[in-house]
Amino acid sequence: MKAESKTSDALAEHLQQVAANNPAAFAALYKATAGKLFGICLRILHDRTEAEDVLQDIFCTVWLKASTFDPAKAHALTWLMVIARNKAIDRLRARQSAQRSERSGVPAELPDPTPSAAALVEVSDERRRLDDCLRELDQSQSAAIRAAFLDGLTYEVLAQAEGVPLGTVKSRIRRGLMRLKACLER
Amino acid sequence: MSDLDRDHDDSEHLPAEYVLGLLDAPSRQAAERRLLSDPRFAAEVDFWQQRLIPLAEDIATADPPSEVWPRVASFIAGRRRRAGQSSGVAARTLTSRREAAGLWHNIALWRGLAFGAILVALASFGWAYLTSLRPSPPLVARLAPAGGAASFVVTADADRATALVVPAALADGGRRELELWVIPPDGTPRSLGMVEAARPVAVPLPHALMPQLGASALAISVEPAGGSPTGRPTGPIIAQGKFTNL
Repeated sequence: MKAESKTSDALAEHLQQVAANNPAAFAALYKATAGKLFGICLRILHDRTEAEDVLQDIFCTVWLKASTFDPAKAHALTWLMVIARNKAIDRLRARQSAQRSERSGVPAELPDPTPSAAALVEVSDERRRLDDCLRELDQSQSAAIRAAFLDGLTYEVLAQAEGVPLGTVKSRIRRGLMRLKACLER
Repeated sequence: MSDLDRDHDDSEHLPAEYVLGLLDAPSRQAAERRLLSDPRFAAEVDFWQQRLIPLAEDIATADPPSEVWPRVASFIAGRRRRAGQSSGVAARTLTSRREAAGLWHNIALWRGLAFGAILVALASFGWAYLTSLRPSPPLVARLAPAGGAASFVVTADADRATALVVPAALADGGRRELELWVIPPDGTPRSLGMVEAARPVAVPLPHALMPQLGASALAISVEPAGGSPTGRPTGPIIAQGKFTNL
């Protein structure tokens, strides 16, 4: 965890330099994080060209909004990943609206809810806490929450994928969220 | 009263649902608008963003396409140039050009770019760097080995009497001593100094040669450490080319 906080500190430094209009710091930030953020875009959009567009948009936004980053409130990588994910989902929704159907977002099957073995090797404290809390939920609740987060799936798409009524998915997830919140706030 | 209760029951989950991406497009847009006007809602959204984002640690990294960085760099250069122009302060423009140079000289990013992408960047970002506030366009030369693909690009900034020598990703990475020569119309090579295959180098241009620069050729030769002892190329020419207007 010390290693991770060192990395976060370095990124936060870069980000604060970027806010001071330092292009070299911005280049370093890109080098360190573009791969991760591109991965997030690919995971949500499943389309290389769109992911490329969104990645470009993300970094232009990072340049413009770096001054809004507050190192006391968040890790730099968190801040970046939140921007990346938001932009990717925005693009996904825009694409789905254009296609006039959210059915196109249905994945072949829901992703495996259990973290991969590789991921378990080096997880942050925050991730461990989250996993502990997710484990307290029903399997169907935590699976749906993970699927929604990782793939940007809407209630409708989830309902179709699982073959259950919309209302069922909604109340299942909402109950899960309430328990998750209570656990996280402990 | 009961309607209000029902709305409250549903909407208490909105922050989490927004963060998770569960909302359809119209609901998502409504939530985004609410972020701007409702600080309590925004704080809730923030809570869920922070708590859920560790799930993204699982997502694999992927090499982004090489075209992305030049486009981003060009966007920044454009904004900085416009900011410099609108402020009208020459000193600030000079600083931003120096800082833009820092970006430009960060070879770690240029390495691995396809040469076409470098030229795209040059046309957009390099141009912005070199031509802000200047009426005359820079001269550009592509240097290549005989019959081969270009391995260096040289841009000449007449106002600053400087040339930027940028290696392409395909340039030989070996640790050879490389010397840049300019050959004006009289045919006599003159050394412009040592350059590198791994990093952009800026070389000063002799004022005497500036008037004929557009009609001059360039060459890079391999030399002993410290450059040619004779004032003429002694080793093999690995790349050559002529200036043209971009």
